[in-house]
Amino acid sequence: MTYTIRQRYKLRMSLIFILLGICAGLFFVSLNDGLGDWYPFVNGGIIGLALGIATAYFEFFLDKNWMKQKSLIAIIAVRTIYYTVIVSLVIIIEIGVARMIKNHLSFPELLMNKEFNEYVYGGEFITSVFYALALVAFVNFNYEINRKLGQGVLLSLITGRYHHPREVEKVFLFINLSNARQIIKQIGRLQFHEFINEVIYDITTPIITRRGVIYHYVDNEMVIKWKKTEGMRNANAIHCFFEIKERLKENQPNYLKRFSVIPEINGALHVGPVVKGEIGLIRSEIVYHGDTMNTTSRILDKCKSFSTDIIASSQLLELIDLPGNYTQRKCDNVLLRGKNTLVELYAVHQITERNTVLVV
Amino acid sequence: MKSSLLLKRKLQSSGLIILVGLCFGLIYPLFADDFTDKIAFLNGILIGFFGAVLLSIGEYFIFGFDTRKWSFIPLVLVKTALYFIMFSILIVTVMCFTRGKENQMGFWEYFYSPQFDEFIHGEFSTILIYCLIVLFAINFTRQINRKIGHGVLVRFILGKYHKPREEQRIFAFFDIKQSTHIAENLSPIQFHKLLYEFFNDISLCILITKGEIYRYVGDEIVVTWQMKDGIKHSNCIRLFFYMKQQLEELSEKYVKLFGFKPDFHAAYHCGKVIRGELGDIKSQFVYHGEALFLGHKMEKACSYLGCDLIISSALASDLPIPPEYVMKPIGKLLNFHKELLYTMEEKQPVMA
Repeated sequence: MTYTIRQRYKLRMSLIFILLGICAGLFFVSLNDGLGDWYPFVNGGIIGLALGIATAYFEFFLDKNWMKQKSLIAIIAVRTIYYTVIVSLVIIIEIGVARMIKNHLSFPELLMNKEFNEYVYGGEFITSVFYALALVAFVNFNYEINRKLGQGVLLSLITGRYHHPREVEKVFLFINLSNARQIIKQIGRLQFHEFINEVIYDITTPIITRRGVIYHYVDNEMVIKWKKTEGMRNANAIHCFFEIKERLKENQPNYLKRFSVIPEINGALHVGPVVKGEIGLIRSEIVYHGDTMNTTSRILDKCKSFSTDIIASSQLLELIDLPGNYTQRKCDNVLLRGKNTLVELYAVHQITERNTVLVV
Repeated sequence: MKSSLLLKRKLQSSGLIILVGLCFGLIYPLFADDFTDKIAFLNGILIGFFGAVLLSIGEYFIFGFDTRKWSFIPLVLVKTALYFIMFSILIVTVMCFTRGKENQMGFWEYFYSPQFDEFIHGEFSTILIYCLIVLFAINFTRQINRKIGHGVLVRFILGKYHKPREEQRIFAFFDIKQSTHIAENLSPIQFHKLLYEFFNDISLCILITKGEIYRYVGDEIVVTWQMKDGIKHSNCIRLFFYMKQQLEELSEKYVKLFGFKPDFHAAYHCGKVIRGELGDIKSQFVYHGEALFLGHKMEKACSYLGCDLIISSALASDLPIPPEYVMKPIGKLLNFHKELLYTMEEKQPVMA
């Protein structure tokens, strides 16, 4: 059975949630009841497992499209109610069943059982529910922040992995909206913001399918990066650009309908060493510095003058086996702005059927 | 001026912590006790209040600004552990005091009484777990808040900018002078370290002038203010002079580490921008607007104008000039809509 990338991501996140749930369950028990008895640990573990599954189900697998239209308050309310009910039910059922098995009680006997009543009304139950709710909120909150920061950034910030800068090799793809100025003139800044957001949502799928990582958005430019090996493998980086283009082309009617303009993009591909490190005390970011970044940015400027969609550097093309349906055409050697050596650049084209007919 | 601004900021944040402390102090008795026991609520309030005061002292006067450089996990753990010990002592003290009063016993008398013994073996552990969770949550959120930028967290939670909106803002572009030249002479790692040090050293200045770091792009840093925050006390312009002063004070460190003293120039502009949120799996708060575009161009002009600070006329007309500085026009630039540009300098002391 094969899963799509999104499904695999969801399953992986669910597993993390469940493991966290079990750990939290065991932790609570060890604080509350001490280490003397094994029986509370079984309860803690089972409750943690069940809550992990319930959380993962609600966050990843439940169809929440109807929620998009609701206000933020409504969404918070729905979540709070769902989790309170689930947490209370899970805890009370688990403890009840456990008591029934341990003390050989039938269900009516359980309801009359003094110990059980004391548990429910005596405060311990409320404490457990409160603890579990706090944890669910905590996990969800972090999941959300992680999503906002981008793939893996939160983890790197927390573990301090790039506290000391390191030199790494990366493939960079810079994309810009080449007709941005004209679009702004036509539809205004406010609409333009919606427009560019739409473009980003559209092209996120081809990017993650090709295992690219979005580094940041600067004005109408977007920077995508790969580990060197990832970007080279299956010519991911080159495919990525053309799949983005295809995606935007497919959605052209949609853009025309909503904004009456269509996005046109240029791209620049380059590979090389960069320094990766964390900066900033009041706003931390994991950033890349280095000549490779500057060069890629300069290459992007050249797209217009060579009237091509995408330019790749010779360093990159030496490392990638160009798949059969692409051709490369050498551009004249150029001097990039702010540099004093000539660079060799290539325009990359996709061979469509129409093109082949023309060649014949 | 600088230190008083810092103190004000610390006190403001302490106020917030105390408020949060009071809330959490009240939540506990709400769940654990019934409403007949007034002492429980009094205890909640007292513990919440004094706990928060201790927490603020710890956060702002013991763990200073420099602890931001520590790694995340050790910092959160060390802080949580320390505050946990503080809270345990605080809880015992408050309990002995109020419950002692209730039972007409002295502090120590209650401390050695069987009722207190019962409390220690019973409810105390629950209260401690509650405290531990709350402390961890507060510390963790505060650290995350520091990491991702001031106020960004609140916006994430409230989703304030889900719909783009127009705002009047001030933007300042700071750029290290001759950065290409410097980059060529330092190794890439060294250059990164230079930027790291530079951005760290100016952080505090940005914080106390209420600036918000919009982004880092290479060696450039963009700081932004809401119009009224930037204008108030001329915060935005003060930032420039605070930064210069800070670099001057630390110049020895830079000479020792990198062999020279870095300098920077800045361009200030203000105008209407669209503020919104972009992206799906990676999301970012962004500003779009002509003001940003122009400001960026002004910054590029700094070096050939030979000016460390340029201010657009749009901002200059709104900006109150602090008494210790003077504003000077530096002329018009053709490609800036023929806008007049200004610079600001410190007043020379008048010779007697």
